[in-house]
Amino acid sequence: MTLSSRYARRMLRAFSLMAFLCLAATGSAQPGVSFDIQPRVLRVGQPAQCTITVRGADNPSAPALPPMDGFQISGPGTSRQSSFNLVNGQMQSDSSVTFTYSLLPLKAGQFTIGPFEYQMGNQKAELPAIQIQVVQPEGGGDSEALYAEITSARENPFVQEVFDLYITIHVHESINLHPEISLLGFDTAGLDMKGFQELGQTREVVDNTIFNVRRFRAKARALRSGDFSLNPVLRAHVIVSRDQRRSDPFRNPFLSGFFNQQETRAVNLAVKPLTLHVRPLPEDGKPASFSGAVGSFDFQVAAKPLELAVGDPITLTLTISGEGNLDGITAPAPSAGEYFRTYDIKQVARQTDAGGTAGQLVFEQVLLPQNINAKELPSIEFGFFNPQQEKYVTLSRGPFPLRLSPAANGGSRMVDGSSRAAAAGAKILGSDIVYLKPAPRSFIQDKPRSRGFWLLQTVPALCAAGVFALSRRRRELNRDVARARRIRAPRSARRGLRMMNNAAAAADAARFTEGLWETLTRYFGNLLNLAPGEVTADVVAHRLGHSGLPQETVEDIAQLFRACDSMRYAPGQGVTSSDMAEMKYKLERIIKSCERIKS
Amino acid sequence: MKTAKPILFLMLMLSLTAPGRLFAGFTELFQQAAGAYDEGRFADAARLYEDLLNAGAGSPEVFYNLGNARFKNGEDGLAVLNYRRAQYFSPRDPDIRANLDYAMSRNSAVRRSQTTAAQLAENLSLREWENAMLTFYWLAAAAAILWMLDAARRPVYSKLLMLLAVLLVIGTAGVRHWKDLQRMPEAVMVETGRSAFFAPIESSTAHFSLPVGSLVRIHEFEGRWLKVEADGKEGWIPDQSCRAVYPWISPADQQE
Repeated sequence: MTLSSRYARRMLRAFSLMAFLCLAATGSAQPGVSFDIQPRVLRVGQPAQCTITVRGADNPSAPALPPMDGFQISGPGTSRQSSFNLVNGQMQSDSSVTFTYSLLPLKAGQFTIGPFEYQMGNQKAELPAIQIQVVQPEGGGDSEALYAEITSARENPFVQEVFDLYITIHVHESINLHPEISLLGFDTAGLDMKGFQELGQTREVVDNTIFNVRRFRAKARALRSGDFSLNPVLRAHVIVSRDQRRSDPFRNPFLSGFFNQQETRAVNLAVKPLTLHVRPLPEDGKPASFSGAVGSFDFQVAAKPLELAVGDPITLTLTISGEGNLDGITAPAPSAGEYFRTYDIKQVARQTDAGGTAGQLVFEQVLLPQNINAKELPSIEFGFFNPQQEKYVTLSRGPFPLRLSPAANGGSRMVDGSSRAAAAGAKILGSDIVYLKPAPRSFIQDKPRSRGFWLLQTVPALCAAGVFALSRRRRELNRDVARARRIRAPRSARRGLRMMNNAAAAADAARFTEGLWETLTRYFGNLLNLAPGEVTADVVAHRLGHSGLPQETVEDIAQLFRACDSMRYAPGQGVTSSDMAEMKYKLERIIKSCERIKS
Repeated sequence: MKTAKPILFLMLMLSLTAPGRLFAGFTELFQQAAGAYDEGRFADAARLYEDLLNAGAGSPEVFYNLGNARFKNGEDGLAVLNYRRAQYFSPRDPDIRANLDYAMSRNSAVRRSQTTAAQLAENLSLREWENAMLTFYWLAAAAAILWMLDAARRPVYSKLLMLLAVLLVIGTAGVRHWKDLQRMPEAVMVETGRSAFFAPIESSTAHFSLPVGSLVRIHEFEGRWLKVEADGKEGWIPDQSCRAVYPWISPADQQE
């Protein structure tokens, strides 16, 4: 034997042993759940790691940790481990899934986390309660370490009034917050709101605690009156050093400096909600020139030229400047009177700040004096509502005196629109879209149809299919009388059997005989498609003898026929109740046997 | 039993009043939007109509009025989009048709080409076609049952069945047409000065112009590009240059 062949045999033996161990003695570890939080004594703003390890389950679902007062929960992160161990000569596989949550304490105190229930397939696991002690950061007071609130510069603004909304975030000085903060789930329906701009960072002392305070401001405008509930959620990121997360046994200053030892944790921060009551604009004192402008504005009008010939254009330049709902402002329409022909007013310039709430709008309108008697352009009014003063303000500019000379083609001219229209009938003066529609009876058109509705649509098809099947069967039975009678046979025997039953109970031999005869003739007549006169013991026995029915049953049938004949033709032979019961039982058994055979 | 009656009464009252309250909220918002429109605050009116749509009030009146507010605000593309959406619910409404034509003609917008059958199909809304189809289906099933049961009048039922079968096919074709429009939707150009290209590349040759408000049919998606058909011609446009008529996406998405 060579060295290599000996080595090969040894290897083969070793593999065989391992395979045996694997196949014969492999078991899996007992299922279980473990729950831990580390560290258990920590400071506000210092995150703790909560781990829930599930063993022996295939695909365990992530446990849903309930909200915990004083903690911001994030996660879970999931990791899986599998291992094989030789325990007491048995190979055991151990697979586990670890769910890791980050708990960020927001205030100091003694907290009990748990107990929880965890559903693992059909089993419930009890996770024990764990005590956590959170202490204030160095130099801390009793306030929460991270909180936010939303406030309004105006408590009860008016519809269309532009006002400032502020979000203020207080961050304990020990917490390092990433500059990036985003808004989640902020319902602004009915509000026209621009984006929040950061105003800068300050430091404030609250309850002897130093906070870094970040303020954000947005310009908002309510499009309708009523109550608005503002309760946004902020997504912030806390920067956590890895040393804070787990202790580094080596604490190598060179490596700590070399590698980035920081990571960010997302935190959803509920903002203390704000309810705004938006007031409608008052009806009292509303000027005719009011067209929706709300704010504080100045109004200037320039008319050029003021010395001109009849028919030459005058350009009116209207400038509205100030702060307010510039988006909602329409140009004041001057009523120039019958001596002027007017053209549509157009916005020619718009200069506003980034929020679009402060700046100026410039409009231009062209007017043509049509008559030499036009001495002046009437004054133009601009009405707006000043929310600070809570009253309407009307600014009037003009009138503008004109010095008109006759038209170049001679004489003054007056366009008499009414007489011309009367002469030509209805004259099309312009075109525009059709006006708004009134409120509908139902605002929800074409609701999606339910599953039940579509299921109902199967009814006609099913009914038609059912009727088709029934009519086809009826047609077939009409064509095949023997089959129809064969199917009808058990039903036809029921009446006779009932009669036998009643007669046996009343010990009425004559009636029993009548019932027996009716059952035999009707059942076998239908079963074998025989005319009433043909149903005799011999014919029935002959026909059934070839049908696969056991010979004893055939003999029983013949015997029943004979017994029936003798009872019919020689009554008063002393048939007892037990004889009747036996005959009835036998007949029922025969019918059952006959029904089992194939036609 | 004594306690059950008040509870049942309370449930009945709740079931009667809840939709009413919802409807009252819609009506109030609708009136506020109309008020803003009347005051010339067209952007505000549009925002309020969009709030109504976001709250689930998807009726042709809301789409139509939103179209008007957009039109008056100078957003002709979005006006056409909303008129067309209103037309999907109420295809024979003369006001919607008039405003749609007016808004399109103001910009010399082009339409997608349509067969006569498609034009006929769009005279009824999807819901109307569905109702017609289901009515013919139930009647056809009833006629088939009578045909099977009443042999004496089979010739009459045979003719009726044939007629209903034809109508059922027409109804199904109508539903199919609208379902096709949902699968490969129409879109409205909302950017001015756009052209359709020969290829889905910005540097490729421009094929034909698509003025704002043009109604095109999307045929193919290629990344951020859409292959569209309008006026019998096909070309590629960037997807941000148009808005799909279906589905009724949130107006916030429209604004992006």
